[in-house]
Amino acid sequence: MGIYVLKRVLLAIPTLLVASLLIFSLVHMAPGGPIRVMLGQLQDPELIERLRHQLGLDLPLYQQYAKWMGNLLRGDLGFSITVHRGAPVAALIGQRISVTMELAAFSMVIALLIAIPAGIVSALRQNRLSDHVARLIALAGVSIPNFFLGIVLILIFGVYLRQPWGAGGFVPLSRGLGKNLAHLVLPAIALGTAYAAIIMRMMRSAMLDVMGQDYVRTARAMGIGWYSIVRQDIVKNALIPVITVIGNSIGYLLGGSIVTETVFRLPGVGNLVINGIFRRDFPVIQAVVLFIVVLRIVINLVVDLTYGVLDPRIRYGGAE
Amino acid sequence: MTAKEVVLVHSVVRRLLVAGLGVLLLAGLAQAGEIHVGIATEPWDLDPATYTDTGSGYIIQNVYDPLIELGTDNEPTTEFAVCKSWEFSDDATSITLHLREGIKFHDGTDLTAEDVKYNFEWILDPENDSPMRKVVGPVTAIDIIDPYTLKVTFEKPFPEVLQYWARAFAGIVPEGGHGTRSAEKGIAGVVGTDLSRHPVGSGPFKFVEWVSGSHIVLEPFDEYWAEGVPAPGIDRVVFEFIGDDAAKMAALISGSIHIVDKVSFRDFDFISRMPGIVTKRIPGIQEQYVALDLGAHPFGITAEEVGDQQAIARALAARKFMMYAIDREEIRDEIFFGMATIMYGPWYPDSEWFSPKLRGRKLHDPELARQYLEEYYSLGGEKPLKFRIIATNAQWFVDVATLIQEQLRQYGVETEVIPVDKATFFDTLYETFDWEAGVEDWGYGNFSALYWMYAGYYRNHHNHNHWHHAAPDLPENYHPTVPGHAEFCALYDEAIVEPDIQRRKELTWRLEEMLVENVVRIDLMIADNLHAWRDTVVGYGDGLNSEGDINLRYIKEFHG
Repeated sequence: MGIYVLKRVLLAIPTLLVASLLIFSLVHMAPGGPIRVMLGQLQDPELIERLRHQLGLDLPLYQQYAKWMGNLLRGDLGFSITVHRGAPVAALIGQRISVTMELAAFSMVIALLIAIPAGIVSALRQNRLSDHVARLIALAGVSIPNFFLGIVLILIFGVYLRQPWGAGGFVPLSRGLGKNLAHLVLPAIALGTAYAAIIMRMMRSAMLDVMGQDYVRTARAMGIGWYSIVRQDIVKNALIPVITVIGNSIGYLLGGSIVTETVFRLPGVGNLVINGIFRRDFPVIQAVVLFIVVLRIVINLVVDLTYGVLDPRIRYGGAE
Repeated sequence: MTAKEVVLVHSVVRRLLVAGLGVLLLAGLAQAGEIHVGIATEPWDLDPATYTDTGSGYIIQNVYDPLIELGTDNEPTTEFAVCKSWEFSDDATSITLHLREGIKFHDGTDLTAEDVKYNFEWILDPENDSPMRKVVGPVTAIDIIDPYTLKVTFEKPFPEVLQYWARAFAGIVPEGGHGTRSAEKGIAGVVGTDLSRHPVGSGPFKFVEWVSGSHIVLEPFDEYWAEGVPAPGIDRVVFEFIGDDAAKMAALISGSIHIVDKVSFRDFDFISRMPGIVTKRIPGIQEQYVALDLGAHPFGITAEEVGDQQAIARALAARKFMMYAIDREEIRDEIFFGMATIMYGPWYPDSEWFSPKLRGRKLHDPELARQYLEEYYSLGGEKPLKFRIIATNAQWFVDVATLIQEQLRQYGVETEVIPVDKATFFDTLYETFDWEAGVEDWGYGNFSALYWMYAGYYRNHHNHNHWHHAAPDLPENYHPTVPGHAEFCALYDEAIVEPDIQRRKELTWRLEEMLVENVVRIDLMIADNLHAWRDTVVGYGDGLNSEGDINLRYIKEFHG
């Protein structure tokens, strides 16, 4: 297990290196830079040159990349230039990651609350009305883009029902759990429903697969109660492939939060990177995207390790 | 479903509903005394000497007092300014400022002439990278006469100074407030100053906190000098950053926001009819324009064609075709729902600083447009006339570009509309010749017509229209597409030091006429500012001006 984790961590190094190169190249290949944005209508050629030099933007690209990587290795993500002037990017990420994590977790809870029971019911009642309805809802969930659902929810709760929590915005936990959660309900629904649909379909097919296994038939033949078999054997075994989907979904939830945070104006990491892109804040874009890559690598590793906990037959490390 | 399943599902649903209802009831409780202001963009620098964006301006305006203020008529005033009066010397080479006594900074110190002098010196020091340096003017000396009087001397007459300073000194900071420079901190131009993230001013509201991506909180400053400001009933002000127009309007309607920075043209009529919401429409400062690349075909000439009179005439014919082919009234009615003022040249049409000769001239003339198009073809222009229009993919710019595309199609002109983001737009315009026409706007944040003659068209390497261009392959530091540029610059130099107002106006008119004669840019219209706020914020509308400020000093009562 330890060797397996070590191998995965070592493998992550080239992945991160390639990712950093790609991120850096894409950011610097895009037209426009932070200085024109910074100066707005007060463009002054003398000042532009001075700032370009101070930011190191007049250096060859490979030198800029080396400088960025050198700073990264020392744990210095740099300062924001045009999003929150002079604020350390690490502090900005630290300030906002909790919002994104909270949104992702809440969305995942909503997705699981919908998906697991719906998947179970759908499998247990295959080809009956409840199965068809659940599958139809799942199809709709996958098909409707979360930004669209978000706008519809704002329209209903914010505009028509005039609920203060229905128009987006964020209330930190320090100002009350109730307010905090209320402002997260709609974004979590908008973000979570798509993943609920994916997980529900996976749960249904995994359940059907397990229900066809010999050990299930044997258990039934032994006279064990059906609900007991469902609870003890079918659901537990069906959860293994579902965990992979859930793990991947966490990664997608972090990506999906970029749009949802913008629609519901939540001050998360997604909102930070969007702002960074529009204002060409190179240090912010580079650091946040790399941070998301690291997060995904970690999540994937955790998901892989979870398999072993759920199914003791799974072992890591080749010969083992 | 079996009875057991039904009972299980009902039980879960019931529990969820009860928990959800509890959460929502808690969330619905409004915080009394808290004004929420929805602004479209997050500020990024709260130092008045280094900020350049609108979002920061909203906060700066309420945390600091300006040296000189522009009133609702856009003329210099002192109602809420640090300066209570001023006197020019006869030749306009110096000005004496009399400061208001009894103003305190949020750190408890008194505001005196020493502080104002520090503000001047800090901005004028090139090492501090203040973008306001060139807006302060040709200052040569700042002398303190007494603790509340100081005299500022200029290198040459500077009669327009008050308009300039209303922008340059949007907030007076305490002496030493910007902090000190150090290699570790980086230069001010990049990472800002001590005030960029923790502003300290003398305005009616004190800075409390800035939650990046979410909001900024201010609270009333009890020792503010003006009577009744801030209004009783205000305990806190929360500026929330709401980038999406629909979300902002939904927040206003729901009551979670009390004031919004602006309303879209599409929503204005609908919002005006909502109960509990007050709206106001006033002439704005955002000029909508079509920039033309004077350093490339078809509207300009290339470096190889410098001095080629036929090429110069051909490019001018193409530009004149554009001037008469575009139907501004249709754009105003279709895109701005009639809420804009059509421009006849590069300044406000109803201003006395706008040339009477240009005011009311015929703008849309299909017959004249055809004549100029024929002239363009006869001088060797490519047939059919083809070009790209780049437009910022925000607000209405792409819509304007598409409508212009439609209007030009009736003349057989082929165009391609290319939407780009703002950073790309300006990078393309300023740095390249790889464009032909561009649709954007710019705000007249300074109400001096002469300032904009300088900022937009003078020999300073940074204007939008490429009258000149600092391209390395060109022999001059400007592109001599329009032969009159040197004459224009000389006339500006004469106008800016002219102390006689009437003569200065006449020179300004001539500068405007030169721009129109050469069609350096197509000025379309100035979009109105559309404001909306809840009726619980009484008096807010009295302080609205063309700049679209959010000045909370004008609030008389708040029933939050």
